[in-house]
Amino acid sequence: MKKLLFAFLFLFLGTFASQAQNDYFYYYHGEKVPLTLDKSYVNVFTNVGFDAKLIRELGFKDFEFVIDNSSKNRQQFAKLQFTSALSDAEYYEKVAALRAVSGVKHVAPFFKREGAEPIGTSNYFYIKLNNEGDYTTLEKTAIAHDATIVKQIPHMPLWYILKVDADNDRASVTAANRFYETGGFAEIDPAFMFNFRNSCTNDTDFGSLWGLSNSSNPSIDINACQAWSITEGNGINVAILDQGIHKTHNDLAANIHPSSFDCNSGSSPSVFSGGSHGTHVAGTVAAVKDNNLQVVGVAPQSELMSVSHTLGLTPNVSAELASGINWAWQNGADVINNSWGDQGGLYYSQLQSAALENAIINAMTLGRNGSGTLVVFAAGNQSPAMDYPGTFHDDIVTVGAITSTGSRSGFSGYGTKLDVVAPGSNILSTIPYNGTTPYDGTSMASPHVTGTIALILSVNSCLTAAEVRNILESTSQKVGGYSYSTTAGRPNGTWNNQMGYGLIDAYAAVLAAQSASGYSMDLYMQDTPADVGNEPNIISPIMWTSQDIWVRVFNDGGTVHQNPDYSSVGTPNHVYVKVRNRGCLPSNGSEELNVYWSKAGTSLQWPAHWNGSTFPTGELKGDLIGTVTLPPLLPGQEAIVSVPWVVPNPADYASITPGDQWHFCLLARVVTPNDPMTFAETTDLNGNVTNNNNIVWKNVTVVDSPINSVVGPVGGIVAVENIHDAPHRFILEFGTFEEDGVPVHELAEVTVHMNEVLYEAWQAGGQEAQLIEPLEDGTVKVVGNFARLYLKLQPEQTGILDLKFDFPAKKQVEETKHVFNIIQRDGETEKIIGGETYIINRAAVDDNQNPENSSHITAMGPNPATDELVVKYHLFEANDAYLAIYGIYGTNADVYYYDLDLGGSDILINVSDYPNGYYAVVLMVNGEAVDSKNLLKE
Amino acid sequence: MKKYSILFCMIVLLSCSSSTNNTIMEEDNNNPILIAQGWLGYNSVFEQQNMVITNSDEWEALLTAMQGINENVLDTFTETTIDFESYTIIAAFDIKNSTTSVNITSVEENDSTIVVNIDNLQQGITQDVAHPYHIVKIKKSNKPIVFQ
Repeated sequence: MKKLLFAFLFLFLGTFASQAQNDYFYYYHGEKVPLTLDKSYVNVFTNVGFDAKLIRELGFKDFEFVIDNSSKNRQQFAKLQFTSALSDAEYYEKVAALRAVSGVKHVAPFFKREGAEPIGTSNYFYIKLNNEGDYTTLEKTAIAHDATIVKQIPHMPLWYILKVDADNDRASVTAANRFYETGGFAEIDPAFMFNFRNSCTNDTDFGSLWGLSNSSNPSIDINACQAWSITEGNGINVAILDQGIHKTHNDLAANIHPSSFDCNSGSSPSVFSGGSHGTHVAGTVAAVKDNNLQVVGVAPQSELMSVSHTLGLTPNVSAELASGINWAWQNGADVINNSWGDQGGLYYSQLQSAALENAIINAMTLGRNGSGTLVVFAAGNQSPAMDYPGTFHDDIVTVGAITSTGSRSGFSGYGTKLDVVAPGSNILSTIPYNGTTPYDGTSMASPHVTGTIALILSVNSCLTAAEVRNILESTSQKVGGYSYSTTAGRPNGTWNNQMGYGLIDAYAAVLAAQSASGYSMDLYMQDTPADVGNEPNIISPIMWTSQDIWVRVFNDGGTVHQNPDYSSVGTPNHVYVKVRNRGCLPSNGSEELNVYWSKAGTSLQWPAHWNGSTFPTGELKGDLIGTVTLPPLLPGQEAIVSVPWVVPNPADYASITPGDQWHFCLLARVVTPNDPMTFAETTDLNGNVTNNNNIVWKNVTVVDSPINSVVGPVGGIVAVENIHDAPHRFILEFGTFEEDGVPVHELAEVTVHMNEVLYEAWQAGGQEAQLIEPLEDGTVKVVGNFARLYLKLQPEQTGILDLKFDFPAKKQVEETKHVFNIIQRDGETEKIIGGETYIINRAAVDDNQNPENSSHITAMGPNPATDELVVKYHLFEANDAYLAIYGIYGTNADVYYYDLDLGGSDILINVSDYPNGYYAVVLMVNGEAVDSKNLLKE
Repeated sequence: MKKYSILFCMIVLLSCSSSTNNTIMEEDNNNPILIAQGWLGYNSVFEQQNMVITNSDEWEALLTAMQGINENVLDTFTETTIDFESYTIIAAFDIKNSTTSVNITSVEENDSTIVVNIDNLQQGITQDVAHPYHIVKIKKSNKPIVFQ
C-alpha cells in the first residue's frame, strides 16, 4: 500500500519529479543555461521544530538542520546525502517519499558543476522587475504560479525574493523559469546556494565570537548554536542599563525596542552620548543574526530596551539608576543587564542607597506581572573584590568572567557572592557608528548571561525568576580545571569560589526550561469574549456563539460572521478561526486544526453530526470541511487561519425542509499530541466545548430585518433531535440574555412553527409551556423572556422548528442588532444539550432596494479583485440576463460580457487578464441595465 | 609700583588660569602641552604607572607599545615627533575602565623639583577594563620630576 502511495505521488509530482536528469536549465541574461541534476543530494526545508527522525528513517547520511530567518515565516533546512547511488526512478521515489513527510515544506535539487562541488537550490528565487510599477504583475504571477513574495532585496528596488509555496512541488529553478517565460520580467535568478553554511550563522565575524562557539577549545563556550536550534529569544525584552545604545548601528537597529528611557533626565527616550560601552554590551545580547554582517548576539531575536545613564558619578547617581531599573520592569523588561558597579568598593558610598536596593528588589519581585524580572550584574574587575550593588541581594545574578581557555579572567572578582561565569576576555561586539571591537571585563560576561536568560524565557515565559536562576545555575558547565564542590547555601549543584556554578550553558538551560514540569503550550479559542481558556469554562452562559470562528462568503479577511452562502458554481466560502496560545511554551507549527460543518440543530452530538453520517432520508448531517496546520505561536500570540468551504446545496435538503433558511453550524478542534484535550470527548458536544478550550462551536443564524424596510417575518430553521435510543423529555427555551439588550419578543412578534414531528412531541409532553401563546397550525408565539416548550420525542426522532421574527416597521430602537437564543435542555436534568442563536441585523438599507421583486446584484467580491471575481445576483421575471463589465477610470480595457444562468444566483469571472483600473459591473436584464456596482481591479 | 606689579601679576595669573584639567594649555612657563589623552584596551603591557621620557628611543618604544594595543592610537596624538632638546614627555597610565580618566592636572615647578599632580577627574562605574592615559610635554628642565 505504501509503495502504491509512493507511486501515486511520483506520478503526480509536478515538474521536479517529471523532469529527467538533463532537462533542467535556467535563464541567464535571456539565454538558457543547462543544468545537470546531481542525484547525490537534496536540500530539505521544514518548519522549525520538525522531528528529524521522520527523515532519518528514509535513509540519508547524518545531517543537521540550520535555521533560516530570512523571511518572516521561519524555516529550517538541511543538506541530505543519499547513502548510495540512485537510478532516476529511485531518486524520484525517494524525493516523493520525502515530500510526503508531514512538516516538509520543500525538497530542492542539487546540480553538478564541472570541477566544483555540486550546487544546491532552495525554495527561494529572485525576480527583477522591468520597472517599479510592475509590482502588481509580480503579485499576480506569484499567485498564479503558487509562489509567495518574501521581500524586496534591500537597496535593490527592482529585485524581489520569492519563495515556492509549501504545496508547490516545482523546483525553484523551474519556478523562476516560468516567471521569466511570462515575458513580464527583466531577469530571474534561481538563488543557487553558493555558500552552504557549515556554521550556524552567516555573520562575518562569528568565527571571532569564541564565547558563542569556541573552535580552539570547543568545550569552553556557551553552546549558542545548539541553543539556537530551539530558540533565538523571540518575544523577550532585554533592558540594557548602560551608557546608551547607538540604535542605528547596522547590526543592532532591527532589534531595538521602541521604548527607552534616560536616567539622567528622568524621561524618554534614552540618550546616546557617544560612549561605546552600552553599544558593546547590547551587541553581545542581541546583535542581529544571519544578516551577513559582523557579530551576532546570544539572543538575536530579543528586543533591546535602552535605559541610558552616563555611568559617571553624578550627584544623584543612585537615584538615577534606581529610576532606570524601575522604568525597565514597569515597562515590560523581562531581564535587566547591569554592567556597572562600585569598582571594588571605591565608589560604594556614592552608589549605596536604599532607593537603589528597593528598585532592584521591586524588579525581582514585581516585574513580569509578579513572576519577577531577572536582574543581572557583572561581578566587577577589582579581583578578588566583587562590586556592589551586585552583591547586596542573593537573588541578583552575579557574573564573573573567563578567558577562552576556561580560566577565570585575572581581573574578575570572585567570592561567596559569585553565581556563574561567562566569556569576558577579548569579546568582540558592536561599537558606535557601525564598528566592532574587542573589549575585556565582567561587563562583557554579564550580557552573555542576560542573553541566555532571554533564551530561557522565550521557551517558557511562565518560569519565575527563581526558576530561571535555578535552571541557569544547575545547567552550568564545570570548566577550567577548578574543584567544584557541594557548598552550603548553593543548592543548584557543585560550586567553586572563583567560578561560581561554572560556565553557563545556553543549550542545556533552554532544554531544561522547555521540559520544566507543569508548563506547556496551550492553544485555545474563546467561547465568548470573556473566556480566558480555563477548563472547564464556567464563565460563558452558552457555548455555541464563539466569535473565534466565523464564515465569510468571500475570502476577504472580514471579521463579521455571515451566513454561509451556497454557490451554484462551486465558489467556496471561507471559514476563519482565531487560535491563541495561552501557555508558557511556544507551539511548534505542526499542530492541526480540524474544521467541520453541520446542519443547524439544537441537539448536535459528537461526532455523529460532524462526520459524514446522514439523516434517515440520506442527506448529510455534517462533515469535515478541512484541516489546516497552525503556524508556530509564541506564548501570548494568536493567529487567524482559514479554510475554504464549498457550502452544500440547500436544495439537497428539500425533503426535510424547503427553501434555504436552514443554515449551518461550525465546529473547530485543535488536534495535537502536544496539547491534547484536557477532558475526554463524549457524545455530549456542549460538554466537550465547556470542558476543552481546544474546541469552539458556532450555531448562529444571521437574519436581516432593516429598520426602515418592511421585509416581513425573517428567521431560520433548526433541527431538534432526541439523541437517546428511548423516548425522552426535552425543554426548548426561547429568550435574550440580559447583556444582549432588550428581549426580542418585546420588539417583534416571535413565532415558533413546529413541524408535525415536533408538534406531536409537544403534545406528547402534555402540551406544557411557559410564556407561550398557542396560535394555529403548529405555531406558537413567545410572549415572555425565556419562554419554554416541553417536549417528549421518540427515540432518534428529529423535529424541525422554524423561528420567525416579525418587526413592525414603525417601532424604532437604538440598537441595530438583537440576539435571540433557542436552548435545548434535558427535560429531566435541565442540563443544556445545545442551542441556536439568531443575530438579527436591523441596520437601515437604501429605500430603493426591494430584494424580492427586482433584479439586482446582491453581492460582489472580493473587491478589489486580482484574479477572480464572484458576482451574486437575484433575477426577477428575467427572460435573459447578462453582465457587462467596462472600464470607467484608469483603464482603456474592452467591454466584457457574461451570460447569466437564469436559474442561478452567482457567476465566477476570471479577471486576471483585466488591465488594472476601475470598472462598472452592470447587470442587464431583458435588455435594460437594472443594477451596477463599481469594481477595482489591481 | 607695587600696585602695578600686583595688577600685572593678577592679569598674568587670570590670563593663565586653567579652565579644566583636560584642556590644552598655552605654552607658557612650564605648563604642560597636550600630546594625547584617551584609553587603551585591556592589556598586560601597561601597569598603573607614570613615566618621564627624555629621549627618542624611549619615546618610540612607548609609541610602539601603544600601537600594539590600539593600532590607530597615534591618529589621536597632537604630535609624535618631539624635540627632546627642548622638551620632556610626561605620561600617566592607569588601569580603570572606559569611563574613568587619568589626568595630569598640574605641573608645578619649585626651587628643587617639578611636581606633577595626577588624578582621575572623570570617574565612571562601567565594568570593562581599560587603560586611561594622559601624555603631555613640558619644557626640559634639570630638576627632578616628582609625581603626586
